[in-house]
Amino acid sequence: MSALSTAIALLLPTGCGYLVVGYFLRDDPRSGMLEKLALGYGAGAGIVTFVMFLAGVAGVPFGAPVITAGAGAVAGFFYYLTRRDGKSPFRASRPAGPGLAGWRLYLAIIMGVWVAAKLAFVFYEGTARPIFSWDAWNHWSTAGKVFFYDRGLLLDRTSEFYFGAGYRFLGHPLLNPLLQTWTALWLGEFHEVYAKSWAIFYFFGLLGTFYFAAAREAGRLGALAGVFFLAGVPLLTYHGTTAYSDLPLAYYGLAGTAAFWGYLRGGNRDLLALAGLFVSMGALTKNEGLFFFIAIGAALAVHLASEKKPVVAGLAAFLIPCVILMGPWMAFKAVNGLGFGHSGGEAGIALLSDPKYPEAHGVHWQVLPVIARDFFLRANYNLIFPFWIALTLWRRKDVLGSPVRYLYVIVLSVISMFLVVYLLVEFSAVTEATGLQRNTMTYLPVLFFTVLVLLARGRTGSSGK
Amino acid sequence: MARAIILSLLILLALPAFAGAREYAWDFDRSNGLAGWVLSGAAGAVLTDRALRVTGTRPTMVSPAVGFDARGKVLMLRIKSPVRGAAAVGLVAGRDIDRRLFDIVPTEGFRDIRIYLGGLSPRGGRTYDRVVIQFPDTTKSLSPLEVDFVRIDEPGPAGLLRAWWTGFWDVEFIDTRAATVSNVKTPRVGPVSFLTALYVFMALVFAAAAAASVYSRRASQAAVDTGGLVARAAFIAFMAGGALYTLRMDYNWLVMWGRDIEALSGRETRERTADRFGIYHRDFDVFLDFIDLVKSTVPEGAPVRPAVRPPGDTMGQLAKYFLLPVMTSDRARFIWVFDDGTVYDPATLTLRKGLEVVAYPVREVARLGPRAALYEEVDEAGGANGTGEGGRR
Repeated sequence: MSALSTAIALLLPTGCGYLVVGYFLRDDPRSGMLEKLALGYGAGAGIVTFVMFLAGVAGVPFGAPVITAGAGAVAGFFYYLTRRDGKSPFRASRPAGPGLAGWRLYLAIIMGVWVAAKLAFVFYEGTARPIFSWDAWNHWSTAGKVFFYDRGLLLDRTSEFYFGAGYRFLGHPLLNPLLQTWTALWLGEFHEVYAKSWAIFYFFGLLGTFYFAAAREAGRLGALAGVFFLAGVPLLTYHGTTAYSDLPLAYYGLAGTAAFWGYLRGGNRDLLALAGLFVSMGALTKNEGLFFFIAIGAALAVHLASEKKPVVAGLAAFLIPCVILMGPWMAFKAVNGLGFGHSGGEAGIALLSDPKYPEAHGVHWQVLPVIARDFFLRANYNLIFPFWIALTLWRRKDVLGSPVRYLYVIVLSVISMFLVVYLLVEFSAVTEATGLQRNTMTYLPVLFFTVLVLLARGRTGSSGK
Repeated sequence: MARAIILSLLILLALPAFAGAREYAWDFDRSNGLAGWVLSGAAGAVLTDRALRVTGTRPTMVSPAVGFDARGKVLMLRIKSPVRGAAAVGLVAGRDIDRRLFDIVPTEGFRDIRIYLGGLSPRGGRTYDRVVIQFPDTTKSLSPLEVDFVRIDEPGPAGLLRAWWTGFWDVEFIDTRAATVSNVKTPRVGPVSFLTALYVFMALVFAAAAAASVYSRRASQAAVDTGGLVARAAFIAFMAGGALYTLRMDYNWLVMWGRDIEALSGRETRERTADRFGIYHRDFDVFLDFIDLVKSTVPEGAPVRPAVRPPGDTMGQLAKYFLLPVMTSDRARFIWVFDDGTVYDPATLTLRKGLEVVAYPVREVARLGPRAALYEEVDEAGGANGTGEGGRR
């Protein structure tokens, strides 16, 4: 019974997200049902938690029927829009290149079996292990539990537990805890294993999104090889089994970037809106999600300005979903003075001027050698960093002279923003290895995608625009 | 005859590869005693004719002061363990300690464990004073853990390679610590990190691929495109390196999978939870029973608080999580105590830890064994004082 309730809790958002994504991809013949499923899962999870947040703020008690009705209304609206345009979200895609034969087929089978085993591992661990990792039970899951038992967001200002105070970092976004609340609503209890089962499917969705986006650039074998190496990043695998927010953010960062790349390749502004939708959901997952919003926004601005495209229309397509999705949360944060740090109102940046923490003042250059060692000598990221640098040096003309440069704007912007945070504020995330690797994990899929796109351009001999 | 001579010569030539020097050796038995080692964290320790038998929550053995350079040294340990768990070996230099975890698995007979000590120091070779070995909790096992001997060897090349090889496949980071979720421990190939070794491997692949390409071009008398050749060879080297990396790092998950199937499959969620959180308290199942007792005892809406645990205390934090929907508040009148040395005196209605009065006046509301109980603040006459804040859920 628990398994069935969990399945319903996961399938409902997936169906809802599928219909929403189906609208934005209605004019894209290359995207098929499986790709929409991979994208729809994350989109649906974001929509359900967005509806829950609005319900919580409005004082509507959480219940599976009422949240389902809200998310269903969103899905129905987008399905209506799709049908109004005479399109269907249930449409097969064009195959991504010719079929495989010979040694390529054997290689694909080996990598496919390997990846399937990895998926089986994540599924087993995700459905067998209880919530255990520190930040899960100490923050994300405890928040989900508190909201579940309250059937709301505890917005009674007279309560010492206002908005989960004492149980969660108040400035942290709500997607993760509310997904656990949502699953618990369907289960009728806060189950220590199944409450976090959604993490498994972020891992599946991430690999699926990567594969379909990469297959269009590098063909099936290239995309499968990319998935094989990406899935080999140990932390990504592990996060598929636990209730942290880094994997969902990695998913939304990749989905937003893939949609943006789709826009760059075909000029379809609906894909810009889809990119806006995904990066907004990233910002509703972790505060660092704003980095992806800024990075893709910056890449878009550079693209529109340098290619002499209609700036207002392009920016509006990207920003409207951002305003709709991020607006209420940011307004709520501003009204309640929640900030971006670990507690109510006090951002980590406040440490910079706090005389109690003299060690926090100044620029922490000591993080740079630690980061360099971590990128090149430690086993957290496969070989992507040395490979990326070697490839960039080798193909520098193609980087600068093709749309790949916009992917570089995204990657370098996100890395730069993390670097600024490490240098000025959260240096302990690097020196004590508490955040660097997880932060890096969030943009690693985008980096893998960028590398694969660049490689594929060399393979096909295409350069320039 | 000639073949026999050649074979004998070859064996003689190969012997140095297997030969090694023994720096220190400690045999633990009745005749040798503990040989200068100090034992702590052990509930019981008995010397038999063959080995030292220990039980305890974290039995720890500290060697006599010896002084040795870790470079090229291997710690060899022969043990028989009734339990599976993470053990640790530490090398002490003054006030510093370099340590690494290693896995212990239950075995029927004695098993040898080899650890390359040169890989422990992040700063390369270094002189250490002592060795510390910490074993996992054995209190829940019927049998003790047995230690036959500890040796520090300087093996020959073959012995060193063997220690490097087993160290390379060590899955020490797979435990239940949060470090797994924040970063992954990099395997070592003897004194260097896996990635350093991988770069060397990739350089060899690069050279081989480039040479093969040049050879095939020359054989077919085609012109050699140097740029293309270098790019192709580098690509092959990176792919080979990436595949090897994936193989090694995914091996960790394979081991974890096998272990978790054994530990988690077919068990109730509660048992699984107790299994995982057992690293924080060896009686976590009892802790969960106590949590249930508190939840079923306090009136609906009433919050609770720990008697002595400070805000950052792990068990206090865990109680806060598992007690939900019962909220935790500093202003609560219900006070819980779990295995923290707090003592209740019913005559004076006082809860004490050592000489400090933790709460007064209180009455005992519920109890689970000698170390876990729930109390309620009362007035001097022993009645509930009703001053506690109702915790909102």
